[in-house]
Amino acid sequence: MIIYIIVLVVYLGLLAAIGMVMSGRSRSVGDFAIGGRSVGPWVTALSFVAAYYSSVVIIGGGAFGWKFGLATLWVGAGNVLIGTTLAWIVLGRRIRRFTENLDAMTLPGFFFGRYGSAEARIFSAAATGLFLIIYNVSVLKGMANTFEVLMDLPYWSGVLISGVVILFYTAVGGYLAVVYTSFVQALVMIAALLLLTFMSLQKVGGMTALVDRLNTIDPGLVNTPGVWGWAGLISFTLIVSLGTWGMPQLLVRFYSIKNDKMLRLGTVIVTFGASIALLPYLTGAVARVLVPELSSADQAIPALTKLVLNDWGGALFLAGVVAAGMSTFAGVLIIISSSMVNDVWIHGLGRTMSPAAELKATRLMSLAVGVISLLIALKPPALVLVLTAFSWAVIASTNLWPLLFGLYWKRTSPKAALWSMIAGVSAALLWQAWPRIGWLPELSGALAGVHGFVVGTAVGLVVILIGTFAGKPAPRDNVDRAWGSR
Amino acid sequence: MAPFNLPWLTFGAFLVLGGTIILALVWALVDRARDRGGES
Repeated sequence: MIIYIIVLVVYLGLLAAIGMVMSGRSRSVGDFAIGGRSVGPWVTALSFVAAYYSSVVIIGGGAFGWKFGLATLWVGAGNVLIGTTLAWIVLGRRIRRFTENLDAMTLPGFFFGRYGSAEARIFSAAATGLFLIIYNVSVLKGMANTFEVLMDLPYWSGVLISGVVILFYTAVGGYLAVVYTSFVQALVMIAALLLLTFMSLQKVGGMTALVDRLNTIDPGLVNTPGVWGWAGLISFTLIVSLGTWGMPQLLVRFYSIKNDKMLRLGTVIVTFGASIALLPYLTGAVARVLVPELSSADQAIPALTKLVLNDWGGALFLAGVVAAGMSTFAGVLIIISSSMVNDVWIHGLGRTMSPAAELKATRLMSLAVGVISLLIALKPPALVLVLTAFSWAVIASTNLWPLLFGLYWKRTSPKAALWSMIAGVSAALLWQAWPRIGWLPELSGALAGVHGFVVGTAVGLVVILIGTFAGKPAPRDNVDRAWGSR
Repeated sequence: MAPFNLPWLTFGAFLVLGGTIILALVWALVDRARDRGGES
């Protein structure tokens, strides 16, 4: 126990120190929200990895590996190819240029600049803000559960320990504190996952032995799609891979990189860093062999950690899981607070504020949103727990097409973008709620495994295409400014 | 059978990972060459 405490105190102290150091560099809202567009490729790339893979991915990915076997490696491969490398290649440069041309610090701000639509700005800010808070609750819950299992601490203390440290360095140091702490956190996560994978594969007798032993339990744990089935495997891979293309806490890394040439090196670094995505699924499959009797699949990774790592290794792994959660949570806090103040309060409600007052309000908003998330996470209501399962889907369904079309198709209509957001979110929510509200019989067969994200994005795509062909394009001035031709 | 006695379809996940790393490297090199071509 004492080793766990030493490692955590040193680690959390380091994060708080980074927050203090960065506090002096956040002198304006631009510094606080996007680091004054001054971040280098290494920090941008590895902080992207840390924000992408939360504790939910490590613990939840392990649970999927334990339950569904090696076919889940495809989820990790999808995270690297679609969620990371293609996102950087397709979105990175254009987002960097367009947000600078439009002087946008937030995704809703980009929608306003690109489309000239105040409604799209407000809808995106509101839907994203609400569901990011819900997402944050699930991230906090994941961290607290790990404290519970690995350190035998009560759930509430896990929430408080991680929550308070994040609130401190985010409110004090702003975006720069978030990306630099995330950089450190990514290194800790990578080390922790590599250690756990190496030790657990050694324990099971190597990769070939793992495959043979899984085969004897159930060949469906080795085959693809195996026990999961195509519908579940493909739709889950899409939501956690293509979904990143609409997640503002990840996209903000493109706004903040120093210049678009740095995206080249960043793309290579981020691809290597993101490769750890396969490891939770692989170790989850190892856990199926080594710890087959569990009351819940979520215990797979913590139980495996206890079995194969000594106290120092276990403490490093706990730090890795906490790192994953903290970096995600902190990134989300910055996004919500800057969006609520800038998009909703100032531009949506038309309130004027001096730059100094806006910076202060954004800091306070990050504290307020953090405290709200923390209080909800202490005892999450049943509805919130249900919503956490598809908060990611709702956020991605809101932003994905208006962003992608806005970057690549000048003709895209502002009304089509707005209605694509509304229709995408409504379709995703209705699809998920369908079996629960009992209006219609439960879906059966292959359709039952299709996630609301797939339905939401499919509907959003149809709406934006039809709306653009039928409607008017954005004002010429907005398009010219976005493309930098004016 | 693919390496480690895995079915090819499951092993394909590792191939996609390798392919993605190559894609990132090639894209970066092509992009740099394009940039230099534009400057000259």
